[in-house]
Amino acid sequence: MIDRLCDQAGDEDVAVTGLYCDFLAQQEQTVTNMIGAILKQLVGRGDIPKEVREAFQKAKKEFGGRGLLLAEMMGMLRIALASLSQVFICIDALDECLPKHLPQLLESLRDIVRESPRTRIFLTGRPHVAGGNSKILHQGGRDTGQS
Amino acid sequence: MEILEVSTAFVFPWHGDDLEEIVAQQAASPLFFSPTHRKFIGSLYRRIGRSSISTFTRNFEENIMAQISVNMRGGNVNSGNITNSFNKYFCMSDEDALIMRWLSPLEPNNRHQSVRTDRFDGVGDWFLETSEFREWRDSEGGADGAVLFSSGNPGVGKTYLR
Repeated sequence: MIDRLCDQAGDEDVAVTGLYCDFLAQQEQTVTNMIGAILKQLVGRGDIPKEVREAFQKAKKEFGGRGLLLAEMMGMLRIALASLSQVFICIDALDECLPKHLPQLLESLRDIVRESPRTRIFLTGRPHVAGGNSKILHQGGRDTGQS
Repeated sequence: MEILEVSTAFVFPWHGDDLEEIVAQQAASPLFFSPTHRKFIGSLYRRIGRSSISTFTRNFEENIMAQISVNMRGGNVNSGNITNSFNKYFCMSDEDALIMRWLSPLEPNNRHQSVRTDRFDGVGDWFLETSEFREWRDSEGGADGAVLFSSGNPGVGKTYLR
């Protein structure tokens, strides 16, 4: 999937990112880390955006290298998305993500699509994930429609 | 926001007897490994033999990582064609590599590399020809149809869609 998209993308301004959820790495796979992993793939393509670099240099001085909060991570992701014409995000095995993280992850994805409507998201998972999954994302659609 | 759902119902064609074919495919792949590393992968496979595929993949990855870091220290940096994800941070400045670690400890590229090397050619191609996939990929903006969800039972091959 990712390879096919990469092969077809061609355009420099189109980025394909991917993420594999894994039972074995559930503790590490917080929503912040997952969004961070997507961001990392975007900024690793070329020069790291100065906003990201500045945030890092600032964090380095605080508390011996302070980590990021989800909102900060999303802010930087927004900047990275804005610099590209289209971004594909592929997330494999949603059912292997910790259930307590899933709603937040989906909400974050929903916000990404709302703010950068050209973003394309591909998710895989066992059928039982589909229920709650659709609800959160659909909700996003309705909210956008009303506002 | 509309969600397209595609059920996957294909079986990933992994059988013990196919192992050798996978080995041949990987060892021949010119995309990610230099000739030296291909030779190394070949010998690694021969040594590992027919262990079960799941543990096989993990050992393989760990071994490659170990081998590459040894090579990098050994002054093989100039070969220039080792472009897989395991060593990408070697090419970055220290600060850039630190920023990458700071953003997230997760390294999806490593997993991706093992998936793509384990995959058979043609697996899941039918899916990529479906109108659902094409419409999702080609739709010009708009939040409608931004999310494509592929559901299927464990082991049917969702990960291995090309």
